[in-house]
Amino acid sequence: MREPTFLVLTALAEEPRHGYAVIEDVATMTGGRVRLRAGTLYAALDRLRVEGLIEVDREEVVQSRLRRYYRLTGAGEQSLAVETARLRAQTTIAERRLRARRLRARRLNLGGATT
Amino acid sequence: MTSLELRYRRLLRVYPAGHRAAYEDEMIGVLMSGAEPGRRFPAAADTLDLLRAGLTARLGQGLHTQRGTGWRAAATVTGLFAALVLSGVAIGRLADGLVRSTFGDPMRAHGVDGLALLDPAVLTATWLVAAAAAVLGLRRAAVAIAAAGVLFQAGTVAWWAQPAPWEALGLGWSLALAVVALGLFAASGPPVRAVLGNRGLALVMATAAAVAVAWVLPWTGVISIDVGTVRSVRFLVPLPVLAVAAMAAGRGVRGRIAVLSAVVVAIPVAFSWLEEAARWSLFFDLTPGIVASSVIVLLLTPIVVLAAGVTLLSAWERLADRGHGHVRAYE
Repeated sequence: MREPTFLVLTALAEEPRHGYAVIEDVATMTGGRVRLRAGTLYAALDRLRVEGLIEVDREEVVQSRLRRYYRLTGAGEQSLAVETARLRAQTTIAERRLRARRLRARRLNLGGATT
Repeated sequence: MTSLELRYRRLLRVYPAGHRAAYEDEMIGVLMSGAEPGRRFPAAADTLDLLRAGLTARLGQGLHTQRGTGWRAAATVTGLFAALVLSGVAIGRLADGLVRSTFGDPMRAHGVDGLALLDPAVLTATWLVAAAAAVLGLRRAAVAIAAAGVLFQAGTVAWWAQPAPWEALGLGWSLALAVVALGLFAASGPPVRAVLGNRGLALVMATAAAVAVAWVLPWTGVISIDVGTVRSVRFLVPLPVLAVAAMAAGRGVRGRIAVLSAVVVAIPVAFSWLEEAARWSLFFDLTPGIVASSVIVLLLTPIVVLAAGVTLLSAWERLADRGHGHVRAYE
């Protein structure tokens, strides 16, 4: 799963959101690192709808502009859970290796200091 | 409508109509919400993002409508057809050589009597076995034998290049067709029996045999037809086999067989023009530029035929879908 897709699903995991609200939420979640653009967002939304991971919740017209709210489906929730578990497993491995690396470096430094 | 909105709407035309119908108003809302006050032109980053996403959607739609829609089944049938054409050509050369040897021609090649019969015999066996493997549904075997066939065809061209350059040039198209046959076998999907049905397959093989006999007879002198006439219609000879195969295949596969077969037929046509251009260059003062450009044009012919065929077929199918009330949309 690519990062924009993961972030869109995460944004919709909290509550149904319309397109612009998804962009804002993703920017907030990533501390401004990721700001989805309309083309990227709607490519992801269209694909996720086709795959049945999200669906339209409701439509509103605000200041004569259409707002379509999207929500996560059961399949979307499962897909996000699988991806989250995968990322967590990878993160755990990375953390463990970094810890071991730091430990090794510390031991080497200590060894160097004693000789 | 502000000038910015108008410009965004113009930009969104890069998307397919179905995508616009589903998302245009919503996307305009998002784009306008994100635009800082007073902006009159779309931001460069937004423009690039929309162009990229829109073109990807168009390309994706084009590929999606063609994916899993019988191309592999068509490749199975057309691969068999190409193998039959190649074996037909090899049989023709072998029969010609045998007839000549009965009239006292030693069929000498590289200083050895009878050696000129070797390559048509090897190619006849190779392509007949490849065709048989395809008929029996042995896809991997067909691919492996076709790969050997490509090597043999290349070897044949190299073999004749020294003693008879014109013969080698005349065989160039067989090598190109062998490469296409290999590609078709590699891309093939269900066995040919599943595509054509038992009766369809039997009909295709019977037609191929009839065509082969009809093709060989004038060369053996059993019936007398002007050889020039036979040469001029040679590209039409495989058409009955194709017509029968297309009729036997299902509706969705028929058009694809026609497109792929057009590529198979375009290769000998293009190469015969190439051969003619090369012959002409002996008598007329053709510049290397003209010769090089004609070579490029002729080599591109099969690719152009394939692209044109796929485009026409897509357009035809879209029209047919509309006629049947099917609309491919994003909803």
